[in-house]
Amino acid sequence: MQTKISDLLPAEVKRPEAVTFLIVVGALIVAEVGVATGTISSLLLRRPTDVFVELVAIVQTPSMIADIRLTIERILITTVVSILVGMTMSIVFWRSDLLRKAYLPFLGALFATPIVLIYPIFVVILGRGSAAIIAISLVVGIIPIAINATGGLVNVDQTLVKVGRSMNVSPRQMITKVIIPDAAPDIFAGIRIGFAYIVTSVIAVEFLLATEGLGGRISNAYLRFSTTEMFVSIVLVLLLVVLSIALFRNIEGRIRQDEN
Amino acid sequence: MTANNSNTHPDSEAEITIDGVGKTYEEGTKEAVEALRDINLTVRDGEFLTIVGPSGCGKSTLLEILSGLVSKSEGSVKIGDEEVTGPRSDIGVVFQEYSLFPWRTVMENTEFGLEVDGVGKKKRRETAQEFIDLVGLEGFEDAYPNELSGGMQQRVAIARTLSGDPDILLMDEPFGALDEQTRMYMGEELLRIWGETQKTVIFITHSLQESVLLSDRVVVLSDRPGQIRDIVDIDLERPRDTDIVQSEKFNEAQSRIWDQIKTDVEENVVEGNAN
Repeated sequence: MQTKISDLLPAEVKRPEAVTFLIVVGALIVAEVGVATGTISSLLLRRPTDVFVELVAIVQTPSMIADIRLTIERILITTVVSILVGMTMSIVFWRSDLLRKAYLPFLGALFATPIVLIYPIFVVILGRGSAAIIAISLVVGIIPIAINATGGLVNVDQTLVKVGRSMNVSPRQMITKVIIPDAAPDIFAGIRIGFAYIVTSVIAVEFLLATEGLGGRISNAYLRFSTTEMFVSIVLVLLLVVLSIALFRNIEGRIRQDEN
Repeated sequence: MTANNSNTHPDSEAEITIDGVGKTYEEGTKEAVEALRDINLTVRDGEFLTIVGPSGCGKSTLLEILSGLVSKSEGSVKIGDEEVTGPRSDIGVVFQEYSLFPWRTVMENTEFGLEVDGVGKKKRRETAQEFIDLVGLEGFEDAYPNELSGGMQQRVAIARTLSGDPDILLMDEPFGALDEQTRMYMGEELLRIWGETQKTVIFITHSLQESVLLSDRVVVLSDRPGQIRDIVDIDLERPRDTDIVQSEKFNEAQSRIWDQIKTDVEENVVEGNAN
């Protein structure tokens, strides 16, 4: 008789959250033991306990708080502007077959291009500060939002539209009660993807420019061979991403409940 | 089972007069397609009328014209003395499968029409509950469509349409996607609901058995452009249940309809146009 691995585990460990937790803790233990025994070079990795101690210390310094705030601000501004611009574009593309057919392939190609390669152009025009970082990140944020939302709006289920018409809904009700809820999964998917790209882009450009912000701090720590500080900053980026994804899920859940 | 034996209302306000209706689709540079030609028909108030015909004969187009969703190219459709110019509240449509709002529960789907009409929350909940009970879905109010079987989904679609209290129910192959047994059972259920609500029903199907089981009259349409080939009176006692499918009268009616459709279907199959 075959025994499945999952049969060996107690029931409360079988929940996916528990497994995720065990994976994280397991990786930390491997890192801790590996570095402590010298199996893993301390130039490559730091002991998680060291990183944690350092994290607690560094997070409280004013310069770190300023960097975290700056990065969060850049991400937030880029996300909000991307949603506004991306949604507006999707409405235009939805209403105009001509513009959609002309522009969507172009946007798709642009999205697959590493825009970050032309960062020097942005820097020359906008300087080494937030403006350039936000401008580059807007490109990668707007495109997936516009593409996904356009898809959602264009592919709205025509049967549901007919149901609405047969029940004499007003044009406004057609939008709020039929079209938007039907397109919502695609719209939210686009925003989630856009957000992920924005976070990556903001931090990557900060890193490239070695300026203020979490990315810049990682770059500086890296140039100074300060492995612990580098990992502390990376852990902070991770926390930021995990928290914001949880926040997104929460907001999305609420909005979609309110639709009814 | 309660049923309504007499299918004539005292007032005949909801009588539908279809006079010389034709429909030609002209899209851009493509060749014009004539879907319907010279349809003349009077549907009596409270009648259960079925339209059958080969695939692509324009059955659904005719139904959409009657519902006001699609404009006609010629002729007129009147309810009582009033021309149908667009969707109206006394006409309810039940569509083929997948017409429920997937993000709404059974209750919220059923309430939809009342909600867009601005009916208050308490009142619409009561009304919706009444029709959920009528179609036999009490206990499933909070279920989402994807949690229901195809037959149950169509019950919700019927409840949703009925909750707007239309006089006329237009049904476009509502049970077309269901398996044979479920379809027969849903037919019986529909007869019960029809008996309790006294609506005029125009029902489209490609199942001859279903058409005979349900109807007072069956309209047989020809291949495109759809024209009325025959109108068959179904002289079977009501209330009916699925047992009558074995009776001689039932089979007579069914073969008479089949004879009318057969030639068109044969041509289609030979030409490879059947879909």
